[in-house]
Amino acid sequence: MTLSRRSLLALGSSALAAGSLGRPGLSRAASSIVATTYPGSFDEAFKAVVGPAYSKAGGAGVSFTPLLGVDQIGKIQASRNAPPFDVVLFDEGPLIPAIESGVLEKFPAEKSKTFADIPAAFRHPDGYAPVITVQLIGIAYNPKKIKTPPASWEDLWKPEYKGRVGITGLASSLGTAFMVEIAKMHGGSDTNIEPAFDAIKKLLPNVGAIAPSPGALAALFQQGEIDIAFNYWNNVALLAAKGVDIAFAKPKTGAIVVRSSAQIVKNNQDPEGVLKYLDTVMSVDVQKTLEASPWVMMPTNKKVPLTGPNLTVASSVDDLVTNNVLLDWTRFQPLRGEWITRFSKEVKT
Amino acid sequence: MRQLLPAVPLAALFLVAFVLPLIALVAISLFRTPQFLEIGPDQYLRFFSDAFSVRVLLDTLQLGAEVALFALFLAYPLGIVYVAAGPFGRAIITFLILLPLLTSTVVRTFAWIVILGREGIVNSAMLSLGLWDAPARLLYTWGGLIIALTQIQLPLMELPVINSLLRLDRNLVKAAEGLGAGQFRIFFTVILPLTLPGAIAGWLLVFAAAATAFITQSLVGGGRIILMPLYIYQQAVGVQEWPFSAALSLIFTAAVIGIVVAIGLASRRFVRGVDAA
Repeated sequence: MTLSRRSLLALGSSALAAGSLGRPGLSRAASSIVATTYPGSFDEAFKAVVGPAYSKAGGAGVSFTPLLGVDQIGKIQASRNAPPFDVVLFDEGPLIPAIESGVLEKFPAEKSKTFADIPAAFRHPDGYAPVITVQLIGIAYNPKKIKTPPASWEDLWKPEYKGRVGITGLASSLGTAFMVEIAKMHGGSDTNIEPAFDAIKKLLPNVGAIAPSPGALAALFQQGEIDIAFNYWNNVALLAAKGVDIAFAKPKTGAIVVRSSAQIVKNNQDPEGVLKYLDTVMSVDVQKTLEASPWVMMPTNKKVPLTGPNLTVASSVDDLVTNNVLLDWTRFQPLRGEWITRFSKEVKT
Repeated sequence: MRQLLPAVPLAALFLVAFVLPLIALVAISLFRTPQFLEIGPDQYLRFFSDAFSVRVLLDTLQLGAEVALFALFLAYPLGIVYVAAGPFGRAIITFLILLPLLTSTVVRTFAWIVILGREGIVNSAMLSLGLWDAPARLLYTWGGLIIALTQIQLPLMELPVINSLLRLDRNLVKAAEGLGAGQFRIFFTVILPLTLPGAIAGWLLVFAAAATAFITQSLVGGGRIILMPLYIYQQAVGVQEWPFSAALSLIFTAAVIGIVVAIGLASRRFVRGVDAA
C-alpha cells in the first residue's frame, strides 16, 4: 500500500497550518495590540464587539488570542522582555500568582476615562486593573426533568438526583468556588475545605459525570448526560438561547460572583493603546452591547443597566455585588494546588 | 558527509524543538521545590512512593495496550478485504482509512461524544429497538474511552498491517489451501506469522498514540478516569508544580519508550525464529 503524493502533501500542509496557529507572537503587526480572551463565547463576544469598538475609538487594532487564565502566566514568563500579549484576562484566583510573578503592571487610574464608573468592589485593592465582567455561579438544571427549581446547594444531594448530578474539579474557578462555599455551609472555612471533601464523598452516588472543565460540564446538559450541576450563569444563558433544556437557579444563599479582570502586561508594546483598550472594554457603550443578547455578559460599569435575561439574576450592578457571595481568593489560592491533587485522588475510579 | 546534508534542517528542528526542551525538562525535574532552589531526586521519590501516581501510570499503559489490541483485531479483517479487493475497491478503502486523519482529533472526539452520550446514537438506537430498558452510561467510562480511541487510532494500525499483507507471497496461501488447510489454519499458521512485523509496528504506534492522547482521554474519559497526560497538565498548569510535572513527563516518556523498545527487541527475536522455521 502506498500513500499518494497528494494525500501526503495535504497531510503535511495541514500539519504546518495547525502548528503555526498557536503562536500569535510570530507574525503580529507592530501597530496593533494582542489581548487574550477565554475560549468560547467570551472570545466570540470580544471579537464581535470589543475589536470594532477599539478601532472606532482610535486604536490601531487588536488581535485576540483565546487562552485559559493559567496558561497565560507561563507564556508571559517564558519571554518577559517581549511578551506575546499586551493585555491578559484573569479570574480572581489566577490573578494572584500572576501579580506575584511580577509580569503585570499597575493600572494608571488617573489617566482612565472610565475608572470613575467602576464600583469599589470591582477596583483592585493594590492598584491593578479593574474588573471588566463577572461570572455568577449558581445551579444549572434541566427544567423538563426537574419541575421545581432548585433552591439551595443542598439540593444536589437529594436522593432523587441519583446519577444525574454533574460536577467539575478544582482546577477551575468554578469547582474551587463551589467547594469553598460547600465547606462554609458544613462548618469549614475558606482555608479548611475538609468538610467539602466529606460532602463530595457523600455526593458521589448522585454524580453522573465529573467533567474535565466548566465548558465540558455545561455541554453535558446538551447530551442529556446530567440534569443538575453547579455552573456559570453565562454558560447556561448561552445554551438556553440555543434551545438546550437548561435553566439557572440562584441558591437562596446567593450566587457566587467570580470577578474577571483584563490586566496590563509589563513591557507591552503600546501602553497608550492598552489603556485605550481597557477604557473601551469598560465603556458604557461596549458594556451595554455585551450585556445584551446573545452575549449576556455582566457589566461592571455602574452606568450600565441590566436588561433581558440578566434581570432574572440581579436587578443592577450594585445588587449583583451586595446580594451575592464574593470570595477572598487571596486566602485560599495558595492552597489550591493541594486541593486539585486531593480532589483527583478522591474521585478517581 | 555530503549525503547527510539534506537531513540537516530536520535534525536542527529536532534538536531545537525536541532535544533541548527534553534537557530542560530533566533539569527542571531535579529541583526539590517549585521555587527552583535546591537540587535533589525528591520528585522521583515522591512519584514512586505515592500509590496514586503509580496507579495513574499503570492505568495509562494498560489503556494503550488495550486500545492497540482491539485495533489489531479490527485491522486484520479489513486488511484482508483490502488485499482481496480490485483497484477501485482498494482506492475506496484507502480513502476511508485516511479520511479520519484529515480531520482534527478534537472533531473526531466530539463525534464520539455525540455517539456515546446518554441521548446519543447508540443509546437511542438500543432504546428504540427495545434491546435496552434504560439508557446505558457509555460516555466517561473506560469502555467508551477504549472504543473511541480504537477508532481514532485505527489508521496507525491499518496502514502497516495492509503493507505487510501486500508483501505476503500469495502463493504461500494457495499452497496451504492446496495442502488442505482450512481458513483459520491458514490465517494462524501462514498469514499471521508472516505479517507479524507489520502487526507489531502497528501495535506499538497505536499503543504510544493512545496512551498519550490527551484530548480524547479527557473529553471521552471525563474527570474521574485520571491518566498521565491529564495528570501532567493538572500538575503543571493547575497546581504549578513544575518540577513534579517534569518528573511525571519523563517517567511517562521513559515507560512508553521502554515498552516500545522491549517489544521491538522481543519481536525481532521472535520474527527471526519464524524466518528460520
